[in-house]
Amino acid sequence: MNIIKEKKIHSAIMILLVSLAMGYSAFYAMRGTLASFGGTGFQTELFNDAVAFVLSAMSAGIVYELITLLLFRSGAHSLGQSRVNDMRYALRFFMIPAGILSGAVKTVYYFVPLAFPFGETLIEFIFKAVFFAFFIVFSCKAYCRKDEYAAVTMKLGSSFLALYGFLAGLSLIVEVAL
Amino acid sequence: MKRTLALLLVIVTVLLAFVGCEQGNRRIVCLKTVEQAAEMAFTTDALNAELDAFVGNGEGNRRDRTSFSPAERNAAAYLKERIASFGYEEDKSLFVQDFTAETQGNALTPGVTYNSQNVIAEYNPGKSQRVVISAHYDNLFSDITELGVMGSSDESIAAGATGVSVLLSLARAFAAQQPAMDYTVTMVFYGASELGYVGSSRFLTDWLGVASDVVLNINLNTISGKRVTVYADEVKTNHGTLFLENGKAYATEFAAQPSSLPIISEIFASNLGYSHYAMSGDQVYLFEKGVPSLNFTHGDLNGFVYYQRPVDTLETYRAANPEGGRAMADTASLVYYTVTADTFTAAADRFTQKYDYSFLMSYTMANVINLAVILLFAVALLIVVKALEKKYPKSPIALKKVKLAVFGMEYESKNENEIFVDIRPVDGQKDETEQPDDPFNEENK
Repeated sequence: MNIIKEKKIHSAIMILLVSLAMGYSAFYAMRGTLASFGGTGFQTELFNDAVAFVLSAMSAGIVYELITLLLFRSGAHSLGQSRVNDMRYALRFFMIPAGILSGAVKTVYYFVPLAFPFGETLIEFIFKAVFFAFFIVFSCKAYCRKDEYAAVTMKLGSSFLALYGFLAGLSLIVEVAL
Repeated sequence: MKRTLALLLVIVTVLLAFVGCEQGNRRIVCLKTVEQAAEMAFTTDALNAELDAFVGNGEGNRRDRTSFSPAERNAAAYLKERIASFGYEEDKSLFVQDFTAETQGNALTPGVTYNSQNVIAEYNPGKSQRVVISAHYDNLFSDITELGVMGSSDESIAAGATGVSVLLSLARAFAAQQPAMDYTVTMVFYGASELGYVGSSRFLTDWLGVASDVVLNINLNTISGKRVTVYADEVKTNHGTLFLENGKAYATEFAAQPSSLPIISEIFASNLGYSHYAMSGDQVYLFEKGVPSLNFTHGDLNGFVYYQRPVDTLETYRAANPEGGRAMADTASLVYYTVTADTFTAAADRFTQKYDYSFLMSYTMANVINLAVILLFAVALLIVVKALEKKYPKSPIALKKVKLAVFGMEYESKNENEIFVDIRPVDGQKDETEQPDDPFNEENK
């Protein structure tokens, strides 16, 4: 845990690792996105699994950093900027295994494509939620007084669930409406 | 002498029939029974000739068969004439289904009506159930300016004309062999397929009406290469297994779509929550209705590249498929002998039996479950927060009173809620309240 608290690994390396992990999780969706260009006149001969992985890592990494930047910035006034920066750094250590495990489980799509609709909706969220819970435990012990545990847990947990709840609700509305 | 020669001739013919032969680029199927003489109609030469005749050459060629165009109508006229030459009678077993598609106009531009047609041949009409075999004959060779569609000079030879050639050879074989069947065989050449499978849609809604009497729907999409993909469904099906098993007898490899095809999250068939290129074909509308369907398509699908090459012309097809006729001949033979087999009727009763995956295809249900899981996590969060608040309560900030110890701390009782300020000077420290010495005071002299 000293590695995290003392920030022994450079942020740039952590960002790269998070991008790769999130990209692994988003890889199967990106394959489909590239394949959907076929027949449109777009030069798809260059598209393959390697290109799909690189593009998914880039896009997933950018999205992850942007979302965490906005979320932690909104929590800075109650948690403190310094502590928020530490937490944002620490979160990457927990999202990396979440992304890797999510991507590994999604390998099931190769063998059972039927799992794609439910898998894309549920697998990534469940792994991220579990590891985010671990992150909350770590953050409380590393960065907070005991009497702050409840408040910090509520702040972090509600932000995470609000984000995913919004995305799930939006998906449901779009699905029903269309 | 004449009788001896005739007898010798018969013996030699029969011997040749049972020996079988492979001659150069031509493949003549080994004949084991007289009934299988129909296989002679499915030779590579015959299929190549059918393809060349359909595409044509010179001034009247049909390389341009752009959807909704006069060129497409010209191709339909050729198909009708060709099928009629097999013995199908117009308005009895040979039909042309004209249909239209309209664009929505606005205040400035009126809508435009486009015309196309399906050519339909029926063998054994009048039965209560049918087998539908189809191929599309159009392409997007030229521009369709009003629709904003750019022509690609693509002749759709591999992806289209090969299927047409196979279907024409099947029509000829049915007419010539007159096999006894329990089903009507409806052979449909779809027009306007390249622009959203319009022809197959109109065939279902306007010509067929109901899909319930279709026991099997076979679409001949791309019949080329050494390998042909036979897509039936996302799960194992009895009709898919039947054709794949029967396909093992041929030199062309007939294989199911690889499960590792990239999954596209866009919906192509309304009963599936995703799509991939093996399912791309005119069979989709009947497939959506639950009709057991097969799509014979490109065997070298890697899932990323939809077309075999950027431009699909007769020349590029021939260059890439020196044995192109073999795939067509094997496909025609496979389809013909499977649907005319004595065991087909009994097998067809099991075509609709498959694993029901409709629940798994529902994104709505997946999102509802996702929201329920989020709700569970939210409830767990509240429980945990409450427990933490109880175990580690927030320390209240006590306001302390500030008091002056006028007479010294000895006279005050200390407690945690009070802060005392002792105003007495410390020993040695000058009392700042004392007045300075008066130099005029006699006492200070």
